[in-house]
Amino acid sequence: MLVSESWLKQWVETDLEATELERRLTLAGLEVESIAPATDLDFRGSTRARLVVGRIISVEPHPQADRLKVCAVDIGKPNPLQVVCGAPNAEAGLVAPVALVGARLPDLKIKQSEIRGVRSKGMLCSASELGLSDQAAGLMELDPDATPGAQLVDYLGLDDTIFEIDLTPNRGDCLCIQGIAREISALTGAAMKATRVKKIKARNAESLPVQLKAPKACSRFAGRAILGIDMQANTPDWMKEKLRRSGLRSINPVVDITNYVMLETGQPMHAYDLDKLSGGIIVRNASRNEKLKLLDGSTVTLSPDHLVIADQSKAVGLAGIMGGDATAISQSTRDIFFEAAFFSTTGMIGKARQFGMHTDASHRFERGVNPNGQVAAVERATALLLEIAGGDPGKVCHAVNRKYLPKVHTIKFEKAEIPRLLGVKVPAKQVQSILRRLGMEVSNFKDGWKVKVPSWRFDLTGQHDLVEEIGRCYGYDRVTPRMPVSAARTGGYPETRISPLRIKKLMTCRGYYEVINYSFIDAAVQANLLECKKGVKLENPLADNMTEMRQSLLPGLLSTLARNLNHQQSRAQLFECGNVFHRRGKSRVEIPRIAALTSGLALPRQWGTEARDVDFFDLKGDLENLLEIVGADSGFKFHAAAHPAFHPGQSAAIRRGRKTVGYIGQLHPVKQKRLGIDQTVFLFELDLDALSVADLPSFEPISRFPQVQRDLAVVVDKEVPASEILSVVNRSAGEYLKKLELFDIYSGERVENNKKSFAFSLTFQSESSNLKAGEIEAVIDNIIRALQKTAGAELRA
Amino acid sequence: MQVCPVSNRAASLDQLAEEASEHILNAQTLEALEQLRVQYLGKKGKITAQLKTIGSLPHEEKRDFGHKINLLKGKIQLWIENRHEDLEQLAVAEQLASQKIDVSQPGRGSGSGKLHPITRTLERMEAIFTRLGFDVATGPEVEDDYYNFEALNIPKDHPARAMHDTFYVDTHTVLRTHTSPVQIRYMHNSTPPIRVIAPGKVYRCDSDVTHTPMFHQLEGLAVGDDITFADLKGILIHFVEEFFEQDLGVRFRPSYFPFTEPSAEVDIGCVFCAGAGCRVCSHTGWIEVLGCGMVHPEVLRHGGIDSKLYSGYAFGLGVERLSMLRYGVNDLRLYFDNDLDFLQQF
Repeated sequence: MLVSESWLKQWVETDLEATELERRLTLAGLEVESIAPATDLDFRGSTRARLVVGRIISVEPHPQADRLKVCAVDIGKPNPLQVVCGAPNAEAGLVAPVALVGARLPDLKIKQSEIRGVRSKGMLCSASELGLSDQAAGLMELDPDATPGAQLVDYLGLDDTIFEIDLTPNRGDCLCIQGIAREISALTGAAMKATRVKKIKARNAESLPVQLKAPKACSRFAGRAILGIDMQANTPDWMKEKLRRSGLRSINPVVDITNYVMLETGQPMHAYDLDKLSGGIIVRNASRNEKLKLLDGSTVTLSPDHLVIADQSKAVGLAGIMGGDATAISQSTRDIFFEAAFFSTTGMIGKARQFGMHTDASHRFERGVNPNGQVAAVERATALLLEIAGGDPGKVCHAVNRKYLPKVHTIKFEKAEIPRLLGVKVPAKQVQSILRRLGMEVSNFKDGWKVKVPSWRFDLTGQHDLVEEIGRCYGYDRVTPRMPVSAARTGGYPETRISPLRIKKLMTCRGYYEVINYSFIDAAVQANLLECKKGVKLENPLADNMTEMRQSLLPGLLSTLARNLNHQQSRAQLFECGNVFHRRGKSRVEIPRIAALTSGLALPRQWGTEARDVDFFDLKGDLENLLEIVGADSGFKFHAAAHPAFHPGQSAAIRRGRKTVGYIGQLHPVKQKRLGIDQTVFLFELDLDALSVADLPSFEPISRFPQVQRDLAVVVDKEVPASEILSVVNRSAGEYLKKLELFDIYSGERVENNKKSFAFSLTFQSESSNLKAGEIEAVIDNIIRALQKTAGAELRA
Repeated sequence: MQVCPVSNRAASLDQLAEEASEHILNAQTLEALEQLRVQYLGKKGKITAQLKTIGSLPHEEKRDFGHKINLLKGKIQLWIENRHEDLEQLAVAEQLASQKIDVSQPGRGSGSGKLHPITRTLERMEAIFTRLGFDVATGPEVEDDYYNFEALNIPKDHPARAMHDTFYVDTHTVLRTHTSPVQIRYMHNSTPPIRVIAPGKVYRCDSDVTHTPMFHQLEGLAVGDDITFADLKGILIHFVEEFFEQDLGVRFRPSYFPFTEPSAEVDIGCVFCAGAGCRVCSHTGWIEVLGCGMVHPEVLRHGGIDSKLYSGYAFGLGVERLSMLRYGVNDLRLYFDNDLDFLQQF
């Protein structure tokens, strides 16, 4: 909200500088986002005296230029000033700002000049040339009765500062000058200026009956008819300036007055063309499919949960949001009807948004308007209207349903609550003074106070709320910080627990970069890659590529790869830890996972190492290294198994016991192409739960007897998996086998077609004796027999 | 064999000594040296030949000449040994010289990767709080409306819901808009005193230069029978100082959150301009880093805790914000672009 300092100071007696007010307001929870002068004009020097009010006496056409005019301007001096001007609205009688020679405007300095042979001794200014507006629609038109020669800075009160205040949603009461002034009073002790609202007597009997048919949503309505106003009247410059500084445009005197009263008191108002209303006012719920054309030209279709202001025949306004078009004030309006109503927050919240609207009125009603301020607002508007546009006021029409007015809260406020929550003792006198300045009635009560909350403070319902009021007005900075002193705690950190951080660090040590992708992805891309069922969809996704929660980390990794390849990276090793989201029947589950990807060269290009692309086994090696975090005999096994995203011949399930805990494989070449990636990619994905608990190391005695090593090479059918050979060897090698290493796999010229050879080295050691040659030979024979029998292996010559 | 006069024999021994010494010293290889050894000391060598002449000498000369030859033999042996040692050393030196490498060539290998800066930042934050005795808890990211809003004193139609730009999965289910739901879940499962942090991903339906639809928060909650705003200030001032490793200045500014009362936003002195005012801090000298407050009695009630007996504080730290300030990152979106050029910097 934009707030003018000079306007504020008409309401509260304070001498504090703008920067100090800014600080105090911010530290009391009314965050001042910026402070800025009311104009870009720098009038500190001589410019102040060189900007004056001028009145155009006569306008002659320029002899040399069709578009220019030569104006004689009265600037309060004996002789009029000759000014050449091109503005379309420059005509005799117009009062406008004049910049005299020597004045500095935001974008130019005024010099005496000759324009196409005619001397010009100053400039008639538009609002934008003075830095008062972004738009320049001709000369700025001042009140016709403004005194020529008066200094413009004083006349418009330009020596002002604008605060931009970011209000929290609980402080609807501060969405007006009066509210902010009250805050300043409470914060600084400055007195509020007396501002009694004058009651204006009716001068005719005009009155509209008001029926509150939806009292829950509207429990008070005040209105007044004013007859015979002068729509030719101008909004006075002082009011236009206040509206401008509050961010509002001047429209016509009636609308300007309703806006002005709203800015001043926080009570949104509306004015109807009385002649266009038929009969009395009814505040009611809309009927199904009721249509209403609004002031902005749009037509809304309503339902019974919308509140409207209606006359006897039709809806004339969308309550608390915008008035109707049919009853709007126009240049031909003579009689008007003011409305100031109390619409409850619960009835208003979200309603404007349903129509894609957000108005000054809806903003205030959603946050809460003083339920006791309607009559005063009508009186204030009446007084202003009579002053500006004349007219005869009728009676104030006032309908109220007290049952539905918000309750006035009286809070029993125990003294002890302040130190209990704030950790600081605030003197009782100061507590009372703060509460009173905030508009509360305070009376003593055993161990504390009885506090009656003013009608405009919806947000104060309990003691904790009052503690905050005391805290913020007393100053959070006056609370002395305290560091915790607490009993030591034990337990909760089992040694076998593996933290995700350890897993991540292990991956980085293998050369992988951690990435964090959004949890929502393109449902179509996901379905395409994973051939999965419908997952957890968002009702209101932000974009087409963020429609569904990810069911796997793979799509995110792949899009990260694609992006990096586009950024001229050719080698990438990436991993991510995060949750994936699945549907299980009607419920949803979140599964923490880790996934990794590698693509491009196995090693960065370097001297002395032959460059080659990564393959399945590079990634498998990294994965095995990761799995070992659980313990040497972690029990993870790889089984050839299909995965929709993977190459059918290069894909394995990772199993632990009977449970599949992940997959590893090469990205399916067709899917790879579809993703726009032009190099092979290898990926794995694994449930993090499988890595959450490690084995506790268990010591085995170290043998001092010599190790015996034997190499063995066998030829088997190509289809026989290495795991089978290794497991046969393991099973048949007996108790002395210490280590089994597969050191060569060969297929080619030197073995038969459809065969391959495995060469492995076996290390034997006994814990209790020297192994004899005969013992080893017996074991080797046993292994060879077992390999022949179960895997059809032949000893390689 | 003709026997030479004594003086002649002595002279020829001297000559032999001179010649041997010169040859040995000039031997360039171990092989050449071995040849010399054979040449002088071998069975058919020159010294051996001289020794053989002794028998033919007059008795009175035998002893003296024999002594001289043995002396010379000893000398030659010594010269050869010395030369042998020299030549060996030379050979080692030569071999070493030939094995010289360019140590400035880069080392081989794959290098290591990096943790994402968010992980790095969160790890640091968690370490600070766990040292202060906070437990770490987590909660679901797809959350019931009840935990995300109702239990946190944000009933339906509360204006604060508008502040949250919520992603909905269905009418009763949202992507959590903050880590605060973990507060409630944790309170349900424990009794005061409570001290816990909950780091994690949160989601808001908002995306521009300074907002991403997913980001990270670290929630903190402490509940006990003597917890006040002073404790909240203490812990957060300590955190900021330890996290930034400097005393930037901390300011507690009253604010509004439905789940805390009193509430505050915390600003730190701008890390870029030391409070002088710059573009990053919008020329205020202050940068907002977190929201906090005393837990609202309604929230304690939803957590099953009697607000008459216990009080508590809660805070929510923006991880990206802190990370950006700590490492000088000027664009939030970089965190989720996962550009390797970015990730390599941490």
